[in-house]
Amino acid sequence: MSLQKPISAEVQSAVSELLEELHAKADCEKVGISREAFVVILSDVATRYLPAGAEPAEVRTFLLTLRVEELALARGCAAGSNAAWELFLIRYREKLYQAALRIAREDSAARELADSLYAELYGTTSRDGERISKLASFTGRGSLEGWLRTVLAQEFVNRYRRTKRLVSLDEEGEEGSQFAAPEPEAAPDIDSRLELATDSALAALSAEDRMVLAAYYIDGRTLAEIASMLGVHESTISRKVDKLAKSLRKKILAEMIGRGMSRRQAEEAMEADVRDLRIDIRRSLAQESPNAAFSEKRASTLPQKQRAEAVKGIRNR
Amino acid sequence: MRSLPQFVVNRLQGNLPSTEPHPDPDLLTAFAEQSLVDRERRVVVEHLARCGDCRDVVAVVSSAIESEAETNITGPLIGKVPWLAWPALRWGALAAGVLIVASVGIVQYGHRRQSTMVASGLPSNQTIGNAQLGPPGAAPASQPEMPKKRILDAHEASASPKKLEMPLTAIDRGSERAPRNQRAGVPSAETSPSAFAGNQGLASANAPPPAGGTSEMVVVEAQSQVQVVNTQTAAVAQNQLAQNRADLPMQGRVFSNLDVVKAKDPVPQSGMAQAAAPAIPNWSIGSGGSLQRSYDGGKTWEDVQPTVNLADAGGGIAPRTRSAPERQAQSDKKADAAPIPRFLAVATNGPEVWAGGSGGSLYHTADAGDHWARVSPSVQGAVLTGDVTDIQFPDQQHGRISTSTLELWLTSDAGQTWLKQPLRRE
Repeated sequence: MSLQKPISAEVQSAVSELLEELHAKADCEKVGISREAFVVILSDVATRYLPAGAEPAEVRTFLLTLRVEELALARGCAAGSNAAWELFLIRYREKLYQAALRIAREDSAARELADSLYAELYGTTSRDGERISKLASFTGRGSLEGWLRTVLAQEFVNRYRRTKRLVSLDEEGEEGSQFAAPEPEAAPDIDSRLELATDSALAALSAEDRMVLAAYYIDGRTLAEIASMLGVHESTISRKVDKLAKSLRKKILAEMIGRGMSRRQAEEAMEADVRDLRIDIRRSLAQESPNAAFSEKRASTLPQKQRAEAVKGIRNR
Repeated sequence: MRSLPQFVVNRLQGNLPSTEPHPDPDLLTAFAEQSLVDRERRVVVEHLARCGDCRDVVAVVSSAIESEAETNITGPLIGKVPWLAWPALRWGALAAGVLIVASVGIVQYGHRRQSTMVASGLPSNQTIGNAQLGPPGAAPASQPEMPKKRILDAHEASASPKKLEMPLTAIDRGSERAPRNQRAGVPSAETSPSAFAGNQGLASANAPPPAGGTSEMVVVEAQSQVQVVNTQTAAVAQNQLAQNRADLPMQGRVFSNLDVVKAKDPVPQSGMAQAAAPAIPNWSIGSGGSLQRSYDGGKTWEDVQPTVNLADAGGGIAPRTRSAPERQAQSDKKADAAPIPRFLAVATNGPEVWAGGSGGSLYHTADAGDHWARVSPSVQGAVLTGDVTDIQFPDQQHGRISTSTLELWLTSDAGQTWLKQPLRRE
């Protein structure tokens, strides 16, 4: 683990204060983690996530919210304890495969994904002959099951992007350049003031709002998916997307007028873009295919649903 | 509807990160499991706004958590009521709830109607006395004397005996078919434009004994009305009558109209109408953290400010679930009411709405947002102070509230008492 930051006195005292409790709660003996090793692990994790000047109370709360039992189990596996591995396999083997199947949506791909993660979990040999298990990086911030899922998903994204990039290059050769990496400069004739206005309107939004917009309009996520990402109700997201789309238009117009355009010029600048968009839609209609767990939208351009909606919405104006 | 011009999407996309490291899998997992503290959550959200790969990862992990939550997690979290997690029973509970609301409405309705019947029964008793048995002797007879006369006048002017059959039979079946009875009452009421139209319209149906074959039936039915009256003591009957009469000038004026309105348009007009046909709005949180409601399926939204419409500030009607001392406590709290909170979560259950947000603010309404009560969960001196980030009320009694301070507050009695737990998903 990273030990760049020095372990603060607050962390040290909180760890030693809570050690007995956490050590017992984590069932460390069973997975072969000694008290001394556990002190190192806890201090390490706390130092990694807590800001430098964390109050003692904050450190205590942090330690108490860690999933110490799963943390001990993962670190026991990483240290090569057989008992820990047995327990891990009993608890997580099936779940890991299920999670892989959810992500890859296809049996052989799921097995391959799960197997490659197993190899990493078991440990790759480092230069001086020591096994380094990926489980050594688990810190107990979330559940171990969730962590396994996250790691699988990351692996899948990496692979997917690799193959996608190859496909994109092939398509590019045949079809021209519209499937190149999503560099935004698709409409060079748009007044740069429009871009500036758009950027400043977007910059004024909160990170969460931008995340919602990106998930919806770029990734093509459903409202329900976005809602579960943020742990809120679907209707909340629905409202938010509507409101943001509306207010963005207004703000961009206002920004452009603020930059010395007349209202008519500003509206025309926004209209011009729509005409380009329509041509794009015709091209992309044939290309879009329903995707699996991961969005292909960024790899091509926009989901056709949103394009259609965009045109409809703008026509309705 | 949700359109975003292409160039906006392009600029949004243009923000993709270049060299910034991704949050580690632990943070992404904890984010998806909603267990990060604010400071860390902000960092992750900022990254997610710009990194499509991490958004994909979080989306996959969250959807897995969600589908699991439906089968495993809800049970243990709700704790004492694991059976509620069983979907069939949850629907069953909902159905039972609807049934209860409906029957309360019907019982209330029936109760009112019964008093109408008492009023109508007495004059009919007397009518029979007049028509067949000789002079009236019953004490209650004196009170409805005047209205009866007026109605008889009205009927002599316009009503034919055949028309009257329908209201009569309607009365007999009244207890099962209240609405039909009501509707039946209206036409006869129309014949008497007096202030007593509604209630007395029913009485008028009994009053003039029709001639020929129908008259026997009328007598039989009228007698069954007498039976009803006789089961009550004379004093009670007197009281009822007095009450009815007291109600009449105001109620009677709109009674027939009201019925028509009620049948056609479910907009709540009174407490009773509300119980029978409440209009349930949709609820949402605006991007600025305002609480919003829509009565038209989401076309238009209005801001609702629970801090303004606290229980005692509206029409003086307290939420149904609150007792008097609590209301007092709430009005005390209102005096030092905090500034308008930023709402983060809302949960609805028919007209029951719970909304919460910044600084431990938590509000409850039992009437779809017309009147609010501030709820301050506390247990053994510990008070809910963090931001309310999530509210779930699978039914009216059981709720769970998550806070930014990683607490989970549980109630199984509609918010009267609370249980605090550290926020963990097992």
